[in-house]
Amino acid sequence: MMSWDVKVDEHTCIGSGMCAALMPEVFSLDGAVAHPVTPSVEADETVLDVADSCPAMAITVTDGGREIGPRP
Amino acid sequence: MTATDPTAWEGSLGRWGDYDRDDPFGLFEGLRRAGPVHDVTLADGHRAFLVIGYAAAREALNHPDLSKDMLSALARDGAVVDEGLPGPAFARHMLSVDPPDHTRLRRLAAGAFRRARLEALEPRIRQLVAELLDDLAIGGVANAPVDLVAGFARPLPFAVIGELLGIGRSDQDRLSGWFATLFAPHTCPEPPAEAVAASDAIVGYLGDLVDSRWDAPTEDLVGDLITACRSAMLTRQELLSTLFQLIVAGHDTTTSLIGNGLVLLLEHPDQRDTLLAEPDRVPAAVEEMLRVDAPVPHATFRYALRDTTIAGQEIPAGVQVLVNLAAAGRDPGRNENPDAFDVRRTGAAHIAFGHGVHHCLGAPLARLELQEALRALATELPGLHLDGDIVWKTQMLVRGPRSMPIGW
Repeated sequence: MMSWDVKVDEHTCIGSGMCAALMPEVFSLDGAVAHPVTPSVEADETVLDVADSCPAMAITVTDGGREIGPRP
Repeated sequence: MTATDPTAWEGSLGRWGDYDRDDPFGLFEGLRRAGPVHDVTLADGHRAFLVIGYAAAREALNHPDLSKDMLSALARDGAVVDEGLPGPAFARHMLSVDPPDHTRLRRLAAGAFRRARLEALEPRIRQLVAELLDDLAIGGVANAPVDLVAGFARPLPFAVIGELLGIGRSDQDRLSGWFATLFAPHTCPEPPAEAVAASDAIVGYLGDLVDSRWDAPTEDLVGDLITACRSAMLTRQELLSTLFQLIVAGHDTTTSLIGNGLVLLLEHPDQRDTLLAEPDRVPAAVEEMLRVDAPVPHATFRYALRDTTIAGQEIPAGVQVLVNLAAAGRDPGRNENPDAFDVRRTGAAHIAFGHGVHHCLGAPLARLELQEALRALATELPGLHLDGDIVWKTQMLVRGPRSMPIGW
């Protein structure tokens, strides 16, 4: 099964909670900044939506090292 | 009675919204200190639980038992909320539905707010700012004050949303007038005839706009949404609701953001000097303005789907929950010396754009508009100053100057 890697830049994240609310199975917001619950996720367009929607552009999604989210 | 006395607010809480718009922050802070949740009555008579303070507000904005689904709320026979204009047919946009509809509708509009599209829009915003400032200078009579709201803070966001939607200047002026009439505060329970007429005019305009572009969708957000509608990714009702909501969310909020930011800057000449000397601080100054004076002091409609608990307080099913966004930025538990406006502050914590899935889609665009406004005003009008009294808006959902006389 195809899987993508997800990262949250803790220095850029503003803790808006968008990612954790949209995909609690992938992201969590416990303190001031969000973290991926798991570094690798099943390919799912919603992950790209989340990366696009992040108001701080703090989320990066890569597929085998190639950056695919946020989309331009 | 002192601000720390929890009973001090009973009078104010009889009708929430019945408070001083010039400076509501003393009331907000006293209320926050008294507790995170308060049982209040809204201006239209509906009961609501007001949630106040940084942590409590974030908890509420992400709470799974709170819904924004306006149609399901209206189905409870007016017990939760009254129908507003233009009516339930225009309440199928991302801000009045829950996931998964919210996720779908937000996705369809989100493309227009992505980095590359906004970067492409940036020079145009800079040009619009320059044109408005030129018009201000030309239109201003020597030594007489000019209104910075009417001449700048109001037309800029409308021009930008016009760019996104492909709506020209003369139509922007008509729409702007109709929206101003539609949302003008009124005292009687029923909306006045002119508000109904304005609502009808907006509904008619948006319907004609979609019809005229249906067969040949334009390369803008309206075209994107029409293409999606033709592929059955959203209904016509959702398309029209979304256009209505994008215009509402895109103009008066940003007008107030720019207005509040400029008031802060002109009332703090030392901070303005700092920005002039250190223009790199403009983005941080925008965050500080959002923190100190949130243009949308209360989040939009939410209600409890079932009996639930927020910040330790029980909330009954079927009651509205009104989340205060403005007090969160001034919560001393989150920001040191919170009432001080300081453009050198780093890590200003605020929820002026909300929190969770409904975090403002247009936030990057609103930030961009205020950043460009600050850069231009600070550098091109170094003598800019307040020249008369500021009059504040009286609406509850948006706080900002209604008029702001300036000279330079």
